[in-house]
Amino acid sequence: MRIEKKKKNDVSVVKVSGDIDISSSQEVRQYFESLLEENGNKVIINLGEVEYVDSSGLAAFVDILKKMRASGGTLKLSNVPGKVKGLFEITKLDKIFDMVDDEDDALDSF
Amino acid sequence: MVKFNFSKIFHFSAAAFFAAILIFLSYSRVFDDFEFKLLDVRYRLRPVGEVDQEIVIIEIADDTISRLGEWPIDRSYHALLVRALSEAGAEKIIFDIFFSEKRHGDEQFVYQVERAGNVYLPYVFSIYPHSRNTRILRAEGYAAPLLPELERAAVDTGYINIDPDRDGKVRRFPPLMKYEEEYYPQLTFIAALHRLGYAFDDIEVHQGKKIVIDNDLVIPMDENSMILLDYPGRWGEVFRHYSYADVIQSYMGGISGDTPLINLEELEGAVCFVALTATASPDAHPSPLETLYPGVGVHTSLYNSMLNWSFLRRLNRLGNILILIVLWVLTIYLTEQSPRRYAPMFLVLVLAGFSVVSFVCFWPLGLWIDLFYPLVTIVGVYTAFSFKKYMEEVKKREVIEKELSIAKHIQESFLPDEIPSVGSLKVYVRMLTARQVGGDLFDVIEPEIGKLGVMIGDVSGKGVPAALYMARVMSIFKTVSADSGEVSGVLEKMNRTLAFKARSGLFVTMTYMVFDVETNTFNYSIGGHMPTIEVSPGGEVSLLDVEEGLPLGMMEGAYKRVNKKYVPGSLYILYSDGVTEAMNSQKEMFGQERLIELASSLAGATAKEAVMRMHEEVFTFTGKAEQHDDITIMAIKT
Repeated sequence: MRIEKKKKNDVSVVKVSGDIDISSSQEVRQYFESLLEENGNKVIINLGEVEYVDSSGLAAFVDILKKMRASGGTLKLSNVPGKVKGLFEITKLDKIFDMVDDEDDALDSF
Repeated sequence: MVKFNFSKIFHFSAAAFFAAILIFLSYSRVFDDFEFKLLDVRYRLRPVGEVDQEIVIIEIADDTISRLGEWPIDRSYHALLVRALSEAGAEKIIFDIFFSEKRHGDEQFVYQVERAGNVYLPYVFSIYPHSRNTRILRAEGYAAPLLPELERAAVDTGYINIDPDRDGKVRRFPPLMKYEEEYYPQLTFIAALHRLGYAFDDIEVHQGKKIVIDNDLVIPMDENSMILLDYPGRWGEVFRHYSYADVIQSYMGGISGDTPLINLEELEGAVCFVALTATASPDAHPSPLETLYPGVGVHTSLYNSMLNWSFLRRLNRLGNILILIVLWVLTIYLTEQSPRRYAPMFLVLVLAGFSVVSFVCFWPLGLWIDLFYPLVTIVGVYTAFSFKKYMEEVKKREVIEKELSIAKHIQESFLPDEIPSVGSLKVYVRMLTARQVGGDLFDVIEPEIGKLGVMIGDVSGKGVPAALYMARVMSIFKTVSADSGEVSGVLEKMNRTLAFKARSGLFVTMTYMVFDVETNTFNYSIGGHMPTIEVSPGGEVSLLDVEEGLPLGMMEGAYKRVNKKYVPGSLYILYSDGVTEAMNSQKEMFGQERLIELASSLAGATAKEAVMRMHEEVFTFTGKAEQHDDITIMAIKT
């Protein structure tokens, strides 16, 4: 798994690639916790290159979302691959996450 | 009362026993042959040493034999050579050829030797075999005595015996031997002593330790009173070499007016070693540097050592044992303390580091420290300790596996033993865990008379954390479902309880259905779980899902309730994601489409038949691939 960050205006665009599973979900969680501490409360997570998300990955995303909301921030997911989207749909998590097709659209929507 | 830890005592005793054996072997130098081999590597790796330019070798090589006849050559040639070298101003002439029998030309030779006054002539002792590996070599007689007239003519005499190591290589050299309780010098040794301005009487011999010259200078000797030879380089690579025949011919040419082959003036002040180096000469031995090294090279190397006053020496036994112990402690420390994956790297570093240290000690410091025992024991100690660690881990794993197997039994006790029978409803469940303890759960209850509640759930993650969470979910479900038969209310209450204390990042997806046999209706609620499959008696398949309902334990949220009528003879299939995500060896998933297709063929099957068929199909699909998630299938036949 790899995490890259770029900043566009005041929005942090974080691109996660690879598998988000039991061995990497903790790293994802910690990454976003520290991002939040740096006052990055407008965040787009680009999942375009994510191949697999397991339940611990889902739990991590929910945690991040809860923390963002608690601190008044906004989180959007972009470029979610079909397989990952299916998982969000089954668990009804698609209802609580703001999922945008494209990173640019996500940026425009802020 | 003192408690004895017998395992520790055993390990300590075993380690002490092996350490004692190794110390004993090192002390008694049992495997010195290997030590010699590793010393030879160091000899070969070091650069060419400093060579004194006054040392000259006059070689009776193949060219000389072919030009002057056959070996032994006439001694009148030796007479001529001595005269030539003497007239050229040679400092010393040392013959590495013995003269034990009278031959033609002796008179002239004796005359020239006497006249030159700087000729050293040798004899050969026969060595007393039992004196080998004692504090000093002893002679039991002469193998090749020097002719008395030559002995009188020579400035001094000495033996030229070479005593190779067990493997036949010459690494050591005896500067002195004892014969009839007197010390006798080696030929080169006495010549070098004279060159340094000392007489044989000026030396004090400390057997097995050193020679002290004039109470001041010290030549280190090993335990057998031998000097470790400091070969400066390969034969031909070092020392000045001249052909015996060239010297003779140049001298004769000088007399007859022919152009000399070599300028004999070059030999002024030279110490000339005259020796037979022709092919198949018996006076050639293997050395650490070359497989055949002429015996005279041994003499010149010793002479060079004494002139440059640089000697090699071997570290004594106690010093080597001390190094061994330090390395053991270091290896044990690194093996025990370093993370397991780095331990081999540290081992290689210790091995390489010590090899470099041993080389640096040899060159330029001139100290030979043991390498074989340290290398072997570092690897041995590492292997033993790694094995010990491995065994400890195997034991730990066995304990954990035993505990997990107990945990599995406890976990199974949370699941219902008996399925309650309500009306004509038939329920069948089968759960196969991927590891010993799993995260799937189910329950079948009778919340009210005439009603049947079925629940299936899947805890995120696997193994012990999931199993513990599962136990908690089961107990909450039992409490909450007993209070209320209303499905969405049950999920809401459970979610509140679980989300209130959500710290572990764990959650559970769940479907709860309650069938009413009196009204032929059912209602259900889903928290993030896979939709239920409904198979009508005619084989039509539909998915029962909800619009809203997050997995339980994540965050506060609402749960929808759906009410429906059922047709008797319908089949309802609940399952965990272990079914849809079951993977074959090509990493393909079983998937929901395949599951729906399979379900459509199950109309008319009993609950048990349906469950067994589905399991069978899933395992046919996965083949030999490892099961990576719990697989639970529950079927309700109305």
